[in-house]
Amino acid sequence: MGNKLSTRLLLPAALAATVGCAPSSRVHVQAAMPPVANSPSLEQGIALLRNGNVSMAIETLQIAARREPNPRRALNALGVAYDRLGRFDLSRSYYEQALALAPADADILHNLSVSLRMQGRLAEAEEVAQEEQSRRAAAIEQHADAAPAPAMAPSAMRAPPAAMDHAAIAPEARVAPLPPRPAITPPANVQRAPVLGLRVVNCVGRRGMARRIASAIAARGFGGAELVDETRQFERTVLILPQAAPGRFFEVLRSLNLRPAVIRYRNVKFATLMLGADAVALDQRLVRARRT
Amino acid sequence: MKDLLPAALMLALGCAPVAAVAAPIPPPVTTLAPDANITADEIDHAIDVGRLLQARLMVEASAGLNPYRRDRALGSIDLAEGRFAAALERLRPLLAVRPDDALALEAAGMAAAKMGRSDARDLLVRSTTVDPRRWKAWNMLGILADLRRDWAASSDAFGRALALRPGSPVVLNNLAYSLMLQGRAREAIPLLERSISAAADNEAARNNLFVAGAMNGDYPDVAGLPQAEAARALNNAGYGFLLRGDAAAADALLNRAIAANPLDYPLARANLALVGESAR
Repeated sequence: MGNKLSTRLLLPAALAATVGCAPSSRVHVQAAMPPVANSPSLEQGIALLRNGNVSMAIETLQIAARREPNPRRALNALGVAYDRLGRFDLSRSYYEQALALAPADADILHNLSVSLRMQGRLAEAEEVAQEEQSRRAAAIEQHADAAPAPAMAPSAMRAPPAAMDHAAIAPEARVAPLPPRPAITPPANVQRAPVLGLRVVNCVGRRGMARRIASAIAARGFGGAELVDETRQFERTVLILPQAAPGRFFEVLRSLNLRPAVIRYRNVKFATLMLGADAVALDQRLVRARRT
Repeated sequence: MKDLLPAALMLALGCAPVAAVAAPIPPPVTTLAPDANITADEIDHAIDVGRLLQARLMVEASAGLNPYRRDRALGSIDLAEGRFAAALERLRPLLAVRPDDALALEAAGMAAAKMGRSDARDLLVRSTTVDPRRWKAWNMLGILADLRRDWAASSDAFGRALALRPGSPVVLNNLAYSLMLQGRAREAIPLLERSISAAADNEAARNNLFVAGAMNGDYPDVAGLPQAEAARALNNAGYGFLLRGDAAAADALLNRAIAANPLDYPLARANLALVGESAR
């Protein structure tokens, strides 16, 4: 039968192939409600989201999205909220609505990129991340063109506008620099690991969990982690890595039976391991091991 | 038998299936101010990267948009949302005004190709002649070359598309499919794996991987897959064994697919009928 049959059976489907063919979606643009002065909804919604109360956050943010004169932040936050629920169809819709209002907003693009990574759509995520970078660069250039800066230290440059940050993202600028890494001698049977700045973030609220897991990782060669407590609650553990992170770090995590969702970024300097509820089993094992 | 169109391979490549969702997507809440500072280039960019809701909202809000750019954007949105005839209807008059508009040529060519029109190739060739960076036009030219069994042309076209869009899961999948058409399943497999790793939800590539694996003589490992997914994998693999000329293996896998599917599985039954025909 061979090739001729292959061609005959496969060819009719070839024309079904195309690019950029997306499911149809009708768009209904509703009239926006008049803005309400001093509407607390947006800030309340963001605060609820930060505290992990996603359902309440969504309700509040939806009100905000209708009341705010420019609802891009509310829409962006709604995107983040729905990502947390795994409703990527909805989060995408909200990010796109936000981008329609502000197509050059790098923070929205950032969150969309993270959302795509969470879905495993890595190629698309990378494209959006590149767009985010070029938009940021263009914004800085535009700023410099508009007002040639007097001699000033780089640190005096205006920070990007505050945005609703994605759950999985801790912008470098907001985090204190890592303390000098203590000189830890790895156990004799552990191969010295390549240097990797590491922070372990407790996103579960389980006391001592980040410390115990960081110790277990240190015992396998990646020591000196900075420990951070986070008020946000994660279901799934997320690992944010620089592009150049050593592959052995994954082996260490695997040896601990820790399988985080991995997000790689060129522009991050440190690995950030955000421990979610799925890491509790590991922590329980570590606690039991310590007792025995 | 050749008139039968096995639905197992009715692959809408690059056409993401609508995800199973718990509730419908609510309508957008956004209304853009009529004086929003929206440029036509931003709208084109949103369409190009597949952000169609964003693009449509921006078009609706931009009353002052150049009518030509507006129609071109709406035509491109029609194309991307699968309304091929509407897209062509909107784009044709634009080409009468600007016959060398590479983007309009590309969109019209793709719509024409999806409708099976004979002028598709000419439109796409003109698009790539005006602007050799139109990767979607190259991709579609590759598909059209496959239909003509012009493997050299399809290889060239997909190669150009990939050079412009390195790692594109859609182009990788199409190139792999082209290789499968040529009976080069072994070479297709790594391309499909790359396509899936770049887009985990790429259902077309996942299906093709099972077909290509079977064409290569590999039995599918469905252990641990959910029942419906296992059934689909078995069906695709059965089809791959049919293409390989191994009717016995195809028959066994397709029967397993039918048994694995908790519901009726007409697709696998149709493929099983093909096995019967091939044996005659």
